[in-house]
Amino acid sequence: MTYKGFMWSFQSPQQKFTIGKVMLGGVPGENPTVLIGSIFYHNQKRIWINAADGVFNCEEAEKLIKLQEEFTDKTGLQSMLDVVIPSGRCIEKIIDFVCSVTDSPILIDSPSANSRVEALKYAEEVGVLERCIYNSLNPESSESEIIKVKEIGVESVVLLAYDTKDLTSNGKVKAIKRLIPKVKELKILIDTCVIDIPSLGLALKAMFNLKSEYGYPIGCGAHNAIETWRGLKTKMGAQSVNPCIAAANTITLAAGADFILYGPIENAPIVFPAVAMVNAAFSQLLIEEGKLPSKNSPIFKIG
Amino acid sequence: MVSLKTSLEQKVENALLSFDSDFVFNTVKELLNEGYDPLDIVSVLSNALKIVGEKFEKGEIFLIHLVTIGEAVKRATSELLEPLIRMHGVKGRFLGKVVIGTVEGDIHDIGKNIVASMLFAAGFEVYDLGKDVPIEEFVRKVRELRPEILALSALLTTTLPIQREVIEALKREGLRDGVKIMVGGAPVTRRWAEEIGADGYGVDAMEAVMVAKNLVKSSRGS
Repeated sequence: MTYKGFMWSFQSPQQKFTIGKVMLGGVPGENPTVLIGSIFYHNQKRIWINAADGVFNCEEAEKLIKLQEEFTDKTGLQSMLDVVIPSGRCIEKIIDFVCSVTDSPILIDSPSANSRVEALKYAEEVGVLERCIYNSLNPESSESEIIKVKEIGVESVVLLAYDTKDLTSNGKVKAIKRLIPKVKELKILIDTCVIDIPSLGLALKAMFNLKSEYGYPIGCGAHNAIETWRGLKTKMGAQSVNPCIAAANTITLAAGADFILYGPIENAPIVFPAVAMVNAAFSQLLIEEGKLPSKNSPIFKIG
Repeated sequence: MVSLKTSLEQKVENALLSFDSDFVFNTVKELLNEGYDPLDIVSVLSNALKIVGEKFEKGEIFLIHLVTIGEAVKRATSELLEPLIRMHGVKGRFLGKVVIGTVEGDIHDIGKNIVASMLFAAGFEVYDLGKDVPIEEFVRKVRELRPEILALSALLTTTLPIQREVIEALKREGLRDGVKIMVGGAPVTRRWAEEIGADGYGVDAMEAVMVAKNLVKSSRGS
């Protein structure tokens, strides 16, 4: 079954998943885009008191989570939290805290595979696994990591389109094709992997192609294009930063993004309005095709 | 205005800045067929990589370009240049031997690959052990190859302590004094390098090459 609209044509049916209270996927404009803010990341000065020992400022962390929720309510977009576990010593404290202040779905993230797996195990022990998503597996993930993730019983996993030997858009597609058979029984989300500005372009092309071929919910961490833009402030001036954050995130919608890892959760007030505006505009295309977007969509809220 | 660059230099620089691995590979192959000495090509590659590094510093190219060029140079050197250089027994013309790898538990290797490529292009004989390398493997390779330099990369704060453990293991095996140790990776600082008893630290690939050259000089001078 194919979808053919004004801006997009997809070869495969577009899959929709429910994770916690969030409905993810579908054709663009059908479901409100899911915005995922990162929290507890390395160097998040506003929160960390002593990252090595897992000591953080609960009040500030809660304020940031509530900030994202406030913009979720205002715009009609959906949201999740990308919880970055800096080390094994912080797992219990962070997960207990996050689950006590929000019912948002949680992406279990960490630069260390061991910490990710341990955090997932802990989420299962304390009964919050059904709202967790493993972030992420890539083509270099070990077989033992994949087996552990499945054994723990998480239902949803992010696949990262990352191959250092082939950084082209086609390399991203091939990386995902190698991964899908290993986890096809799970709910699959695809992150087409942005590391800088040029790779954002490649991620958009891979995003469209993969969404068309497989129909899985898809997105990327567009903010990395801004984080790694060394000349942004020095060449363009500090006033350029926020418009560029908004542009990097919203351009992904043109390639059919279902979710956006928008980076530091502090950026919610910049990203949510911009994405809601584009999401609303695309929803009208759907209305013109005789379909109604969900009733909580930005098009029915932000005007 | 007449360019001061030779056609060899210009060809190699153009190939690198095409960001096309096959083009780099074919250019090096073509130069070898034309009769250029592999070590001269390595030297020209080294200069071209320096230009690439400067372009990155100035924001004229991006990280993805640096990684692509690093991979292309790695492929051309490992498949075309290194075999010829080893076959012709010109080891005496290397600046020194480097064993390099990302420590156990860490699968990040973008930075390490760039450093390995630049070290080779700068004239070092490089043995790249890859990523997630067990401590015992570093020890085994130091014993077997007797390199002048061991370069340890780590990206994670959780794998950083492994750099110290490798150094401790070399001490226990009586191998520490025979090798200079360099450490690098995003969370590594000069203070950390000093604290764990490393001999050198480079904040980026270009500094790493400079540090490696100085370490070899100092080890030969002592």
